[in-house]
Amino acid sequence: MAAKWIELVTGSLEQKKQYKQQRARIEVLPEPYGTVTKALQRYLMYYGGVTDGDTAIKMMSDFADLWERAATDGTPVRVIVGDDPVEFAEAFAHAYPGAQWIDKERSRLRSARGGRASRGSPQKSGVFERFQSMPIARSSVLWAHVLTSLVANLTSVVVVVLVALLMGFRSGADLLEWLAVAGILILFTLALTWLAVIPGLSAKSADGASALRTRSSSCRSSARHSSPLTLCPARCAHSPRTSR
Amino acid sequence: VVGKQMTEMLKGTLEGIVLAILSVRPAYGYEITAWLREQGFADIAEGTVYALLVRIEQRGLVDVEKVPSEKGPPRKVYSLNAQGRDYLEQFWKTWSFLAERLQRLHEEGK
Repeated sequence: MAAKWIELVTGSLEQKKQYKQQRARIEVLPEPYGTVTKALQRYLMYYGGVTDGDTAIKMMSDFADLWERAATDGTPVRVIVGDDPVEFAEAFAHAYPGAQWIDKERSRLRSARGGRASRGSPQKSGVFERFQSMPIARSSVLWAHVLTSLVANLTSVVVVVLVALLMGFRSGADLLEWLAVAGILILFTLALTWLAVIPGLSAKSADGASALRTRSSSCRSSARHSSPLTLCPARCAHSPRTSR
Repeated sequence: VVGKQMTEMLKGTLEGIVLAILSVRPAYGYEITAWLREQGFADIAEGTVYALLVRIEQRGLVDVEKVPSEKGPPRKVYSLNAQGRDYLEQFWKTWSFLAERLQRLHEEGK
C-alpha cells in the first residue's frame, strides 16, 4: 500500500530506472552527436508529450539505437536528420501510438463536434497529464502545492498574531522562543499538508480530492486558531486540485 | 519547388515503398536508405526512413531481429510478416487506382 502511494508521486520506479538507462546511452555520445541528440530529445519531450511510460522507454531506446549507430559509423548528422531536424523529430514522434497528453483534448474536440458537451468539470482538462509529460520531477507539482499551502497558512497565522497584538495580546517570549514557535508551526503545517495529499492522490476525481482537502485544511485551521479571518475557504476555491 | 513537391508526395508513399523493398528480402535501416538513394530518391534522410521503420514495427507489419554487429549496437533487421504482406497488397491496389486516375486526368488535359 505504501509502495503504491509512493509510486503515485514518483511514477513507476522500475520504468523510471529503465528510462534513465536508455537516456544515459545518449548522454555519452561523442560530439557533435551529443549536442544534437540532447536538443532533439528536448524537442521530442515537448512535442511528443508522451504520458505512457512504456512508450517513452521504447522511444528513448529506439532513439539511442539510431544515434549510437550513427556515432559508430561516423554518419554526418545532416544525413540522419535531413534538411529540417523538426520534420525528423515530428516524424519520429508520430511513429508511436502511445498515450499523449493531447489525446484528451483530441477526444474532447471530437465529442464537441457531435454537439455533446464534454463531460466532467473544467478542472479535468488534463493539466496533470501535461505536467507528467514535461521534463520535471513528478513530485514537483505536489511540492508546489504543499509549499503554496504552507505560505498561505503562515500568512494567516501572521495576520492572526498581528490582530491579537493590536487587541492587546502580549507575550513574554523572546525572539528565540518566537522562532521556535514559528518552526514548530511550519513543521506541523508541512506534516499535515503532506498527510492531506495522500487521500487527495487516492481520490478518483478532482472533486473528490478537493472535498478531502477542504476538510483537512479547515480542521487544520480550526485546530490552530478559530479566527473569523480564516483565509482558508477562499484559498481552497483557487488552489490546484490534487487530481491524478 | 520540385524537391519540396517530391518530399510531399513521398510522404504518402514511402511506407509502401519500404514495405515493397522488404518484401524482396529482409534489410536493416541503412541498406534501405542506400537502396533508395541508388534509385534516385536522393533527398531521403536516414532518420526519416528510421522513423518509418519504427512506425511499421509499432503497427506490427514487420518482424524485427537484432543482429550483433562488429562495432556499435546490434543492427535491427526488418522482415515483412503476414500482416505486412496484406498491407502491402492493399497499398498496391490503392496505388494502381491512383495511378490510373491520374493518368486519365493527364491525358484528358493534353
